[in-house]
Amino acid sequence: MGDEARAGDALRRLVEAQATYRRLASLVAEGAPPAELFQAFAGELGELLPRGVVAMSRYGEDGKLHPVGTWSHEGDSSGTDAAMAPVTARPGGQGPGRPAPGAGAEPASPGPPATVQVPIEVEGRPWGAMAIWSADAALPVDADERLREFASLMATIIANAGSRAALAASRARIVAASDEARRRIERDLHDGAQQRLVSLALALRAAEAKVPAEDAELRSELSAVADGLTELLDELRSIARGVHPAVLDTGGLGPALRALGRRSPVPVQLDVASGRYPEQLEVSVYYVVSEALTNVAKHANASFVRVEVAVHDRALHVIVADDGVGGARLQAGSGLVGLRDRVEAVGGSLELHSLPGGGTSLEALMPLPGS
Amino acid sequence: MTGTPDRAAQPRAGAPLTCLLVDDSPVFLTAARTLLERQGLRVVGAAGTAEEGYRLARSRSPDVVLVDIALGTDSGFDLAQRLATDATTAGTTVVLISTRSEDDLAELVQASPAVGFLPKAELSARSVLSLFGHREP
Ligand SMILES: Nc1ncnc2c1ncn2[C@@H]1O[C@H](COP(=O)(O)OP(=O)(O)OP(=O)(O)O)[C@@H](O)[C@H]1O
Ligand SMILES: [Mg+2]
Repeated sequence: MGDEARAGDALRRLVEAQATYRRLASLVAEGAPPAELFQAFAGELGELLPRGVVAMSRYGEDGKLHPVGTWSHEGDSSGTDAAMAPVTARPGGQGPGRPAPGAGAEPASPGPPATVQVPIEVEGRPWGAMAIWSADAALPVDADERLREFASLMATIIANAGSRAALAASRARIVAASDEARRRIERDLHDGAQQRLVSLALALRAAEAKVPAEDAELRSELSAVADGLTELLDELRSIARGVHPAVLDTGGLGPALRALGRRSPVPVQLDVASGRYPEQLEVSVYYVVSEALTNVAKHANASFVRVEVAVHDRALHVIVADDGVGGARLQAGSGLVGLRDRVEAVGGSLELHSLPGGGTSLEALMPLPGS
Repeated sequence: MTGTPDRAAQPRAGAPLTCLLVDDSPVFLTAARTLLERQGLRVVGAAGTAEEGYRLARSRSPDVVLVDIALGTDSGFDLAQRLATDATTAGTTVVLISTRSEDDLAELVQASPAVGFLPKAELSARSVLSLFGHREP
């Protein structure tokens, strides 16, 4: 079998290989950045070209192709301009460009093409181009067709990555918008209804102070109404706190979580890293701890809970572990599933460890921005 | 007899306790002023912002300043700090007030120079005087 036929067969196998697809797709699923994805793609493709070079470029806002990266056996994988120079294909075009000088590729001798380049179209729109060329041998005659199949696989994966990213961004926006709405409602309750009710209660106490001492009946009636207003205020205050924990805004996680700990009927050992974090993360940590402590009180029959909030590797780690009955499960429509949605919306993950009789531990990991 | 000022509202013989209210809610300021005066305190001023509160505290030298924790965009904790570090007002007793939960805020109040906290609904001459009596010398 000649080089040409071998490379052709190999390319075909590559395109058809489920394993390759799975490898690449799982990279996409892990959210690998485009440059890293390209390296993985090009690496798979380059395996078939003894001294080959693979290059990929992407259309920029300016309508021009910009290099995403190059790959070669010599290991000079990069995104340098020189290496990307040959990629000049327009969307839909297929004319082979010339290899870049110094890109590890020498122009091939006349004969079958040494360079092949195809467009990458994502969901019907031009996205970029992919090119291969070989330094020491002519490319297989059907290299163009094979590369095209490869580019279409790449396009599918890029499209999937795009919808994943769009979905994640939309989830994050929904959670942020709902947090913002809740913050506003709490503020409106606080500045509006609560101030007015407090003022009414004080006005009643003031009226009470004017009642002649002999009119004990009126005095006690007014007093009863004022007491009722105070109870109503307590109720409203706990509703407002459920809507948004305003203490987070004032004092951050430490005071907010310690207040949760004080309200827990099961003794809590709390260890909270000091410092302020982005609003959305503080709110998420608060809800994780709040729901977990509520669950411990409701379901665990525990004698002790440990709450830990720490920062490792540019991420917030939250652990709530009890010594209760265990056997907790995430079930649709319940508190824990809602928590998982919230944590995942900020790019984090939530894990539940709970064997019957072995206590329950809930762990959340949320990346800090810029990581 | 109609409600006479509570005797306890007079920390010094014959002189009622003077207080300054700092709160961004006008309806609360009105209600609080009426109540405290009726119960025998002398309200020497009512401020709607931290800045105004600071100014009035300096010029009117009240015995007690009642400071709302959520002062719109200002923080009552910051005002308490400012009053405690300013030579003119350092001797003034600061009491923090809020409609929000005492339980949530306890730790922050503890860390502030204020002598204590009063839930707004529990505001009265008696409760103010009892915190004034408990201030550190
Ligand atoms: N700490 C725990 N110890 C033991 N069992 C638990 C614990 N936390 C949760 N569970 C179990 O897991 C189930 C799921 O918990 P989850 O918080 O999702 O729902 P819930 O508490 O029943 O309802 P909701 O949170 O919506 O009020 C619970 O019904 C309970 O049986
Ligand atoms: Mg629950």
